[in-house]
Amino acid sequence: MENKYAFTLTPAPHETALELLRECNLFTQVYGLSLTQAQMENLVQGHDRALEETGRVEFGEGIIKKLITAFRTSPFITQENYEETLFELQYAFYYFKGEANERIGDDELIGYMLSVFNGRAQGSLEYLTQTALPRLCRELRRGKDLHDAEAAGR
Amino acid sequence: MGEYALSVIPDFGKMPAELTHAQLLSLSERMRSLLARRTALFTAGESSSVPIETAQALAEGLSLSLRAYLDESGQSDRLLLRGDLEELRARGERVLRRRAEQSRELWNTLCLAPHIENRSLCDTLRSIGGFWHLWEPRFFPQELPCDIDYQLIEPVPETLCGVDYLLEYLRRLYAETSLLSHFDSARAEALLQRTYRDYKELPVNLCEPVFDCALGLELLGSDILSIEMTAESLERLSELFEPMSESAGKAALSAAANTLCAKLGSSDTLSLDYFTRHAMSLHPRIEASRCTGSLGGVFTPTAKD
Repeated sequence: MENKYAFTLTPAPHETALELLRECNLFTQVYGLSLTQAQMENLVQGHDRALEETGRVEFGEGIIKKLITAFRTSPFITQENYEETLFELQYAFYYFKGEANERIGDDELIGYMLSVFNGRAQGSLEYLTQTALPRLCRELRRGKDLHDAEAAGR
Repeated sequence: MGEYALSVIPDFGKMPAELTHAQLLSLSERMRSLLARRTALFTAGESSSVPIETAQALAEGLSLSLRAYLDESGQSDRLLLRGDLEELRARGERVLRRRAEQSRELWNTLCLAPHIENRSLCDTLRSIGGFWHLWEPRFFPQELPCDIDYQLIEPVPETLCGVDYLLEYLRRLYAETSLLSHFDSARAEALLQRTYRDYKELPVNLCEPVFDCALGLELLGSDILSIEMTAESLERLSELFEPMSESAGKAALSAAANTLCAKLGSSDTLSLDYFTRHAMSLHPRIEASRCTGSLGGVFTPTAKD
């Protein structure tokens, strides 16, 4: 198709994303978790890079708020590893959405990540991203539904 | 920062006047919102992100639907700046669905019509039969979920896509089949046998050799329905073209194609344009063949006894 008047999709403006993270700080502080301005900026840049590297386009406010909301209660997340964990989870989320051939919804994937992270991974991002998620995606690509894929991926 | 240029309004250059920068920005934002809504519908709200290829395909689908409505209704492209884009897209989808119905009727007619046996034609018609089950006009109207292998005399322009491509393909195929049906099938098959040897199995066009032969006979004022091109007829054709300039040769071919179509009852605009274009495209081949001594490569000759 002719591409004379293409338009450009850009990720949400950084200021919007930063504002969202500031809001998140308000409800994570009770769990002893908060992000500094520098950490927030790092996460926002990581978000853009994750989308670019995984070849995805996002509409709306992104996934970071959902990740924070889900993982803020995890006993394996502390103030010390909070930013690094979010950074890794964010990248893993986009990467494995593609690896699963889009066969899993956002909430389902986050739910699975949280369940494994708090369960058999015992807070190990390495186990989550190098063992559990690849297994789950392999089973989903084989056509299994989420329930069966989870069972087979154990 | 990752940026993605998505093609959403092809042919937007048809706008009567150039858009101002502010209008382009406004249009981009409106398109972005529409694409976001379509993506949410496509993922059933379960995913806030999609692969760039999916976003591009959804954008192309929007573009095709909007273009279909604007072209069909004769509305100015400027309507995109102020109209409800989702409503315009939905109207475009209805236009495309109507075209899909037209193509289904044509396909039904073609399936019921008797035609000369040819594997690629049969496979193509069979595969097209699945189109209406697999086509997704809501999201990807630009796709053509079937295999079209049978070669037409003149291929459908690649600028067409989805149901527009299919409809044009079927119209052309119908024009060819209708024209071919006026000839005695035994004579046509004998001609095809001489032209291709294994016309039933090869992916070849069935109408072209028959039309070309009849065209040559029309130029000579002979019986077109005989589709018998003798050596003497070939010689006379060569002599006919010898003194002609390129424009005169093309004019003669064009006039003969018009007369031929009229005699065969294929006088609708599509058939006339289609076969006239093809007839004129024969001129370079005729000239090249004349230089080598025989027009037998253009007009299949009758077998020698």
